[in-house]
Amino acid sequence: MDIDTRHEENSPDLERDQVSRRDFLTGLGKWSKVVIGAALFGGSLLASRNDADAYGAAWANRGGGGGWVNRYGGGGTAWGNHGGGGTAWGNHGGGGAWANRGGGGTAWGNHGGGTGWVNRY
Amino acid sequence: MPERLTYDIPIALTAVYRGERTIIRIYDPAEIDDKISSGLAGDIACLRILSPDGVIDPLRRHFPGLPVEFELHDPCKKLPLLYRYAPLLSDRPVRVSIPLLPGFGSAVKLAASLNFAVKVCGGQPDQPLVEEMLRIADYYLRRPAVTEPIDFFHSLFLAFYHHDPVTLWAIQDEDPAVVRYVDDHGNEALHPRLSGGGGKPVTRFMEELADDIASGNECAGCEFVVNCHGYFKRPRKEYRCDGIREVLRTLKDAAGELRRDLASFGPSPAGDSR
Repeated sequence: MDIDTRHEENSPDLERDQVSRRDFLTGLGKWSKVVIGAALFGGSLLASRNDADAYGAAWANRGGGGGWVNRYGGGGTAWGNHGGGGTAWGNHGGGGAWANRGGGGTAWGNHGGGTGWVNRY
Repeated sequence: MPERLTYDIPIALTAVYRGERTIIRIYDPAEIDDKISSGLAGDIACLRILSPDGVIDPLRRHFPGLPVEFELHDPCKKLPLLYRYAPLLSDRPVRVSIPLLPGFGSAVKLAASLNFAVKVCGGQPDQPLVEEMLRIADYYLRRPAVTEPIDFFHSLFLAFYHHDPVTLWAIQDEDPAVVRYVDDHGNEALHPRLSGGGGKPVTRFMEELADDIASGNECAGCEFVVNCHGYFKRPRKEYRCDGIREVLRTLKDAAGELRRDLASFGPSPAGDSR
């Protein structure tokens, strides 16, 4: 399944279900937020490529093949494009956006393939 | 489609690699000035600061948005650097590279608490370091407040969770088929961690690893060989992996436990196994 296909399947029902699962796992009190987000929201990789939160959430993303450097993998968005494109890292909020990501149901912990951190941007 | 190479280059070679995807290495942020800044263009993946003792102001002035990784060479003595670099987090991803040395765990915890992404680098730990790694694996997995990835634990956990064959070489940016290290003399070389490689061609490195595994070394019967791919057998091939397997087992068991927790919640509307 490719990224675009997953995008099409990213229905509101699925998003609500993911948020419920996130809350369930959080309630168990035995998992870190980064683990929950990365594992749970993996199926909705970059729900919108123009979604600042999707990019901003990309710490946990796995969008290409390789390491941290390539985590913007298929997007092809070099750092120089971030500022004007509305996908700036300033929107990431220093990692504080976990609580705000439930409604969007998007890519707090994306996973799209094999990669490391370098490839996530 | 073949993956596009990323070149890990010293800043002096930026003109040579113009048009390529690059990681730019620099020793001190104070080296950055208007001339250097204007010379950097194209597909830059991140800026890697090798000696981060200087001031960070040049980074803030010249490279808004550019992901930065800095190396904390002495994780016990250099902790104050984490506070110095923390302001950069407001406008970019910042990762701290922390060597696998005694006391590294304290640096990892402080970095994670400040919302840095973390990369633990190095391999072949002795038993006391393995025990420290186990404590950090538990911290990464179980501490609710942890919001940022701690690699390689994070990417390997995800690989186990998703049955993803990504290797530790790729996770650690040491796979020469993904990230090609270029030394200060302009030569394509193996990652510095592997400097004992004996000058063998970079492009043959992964083939040689596969040959070693096929020859029946400790990797041959190892349950983690798909993702590890001999990572802990370099640079010293004779290294015994009993301890490191405990670390990998912890991550793999946790991935299974998370699957079971999610299964207990009920089936997913997506119909997958989450």
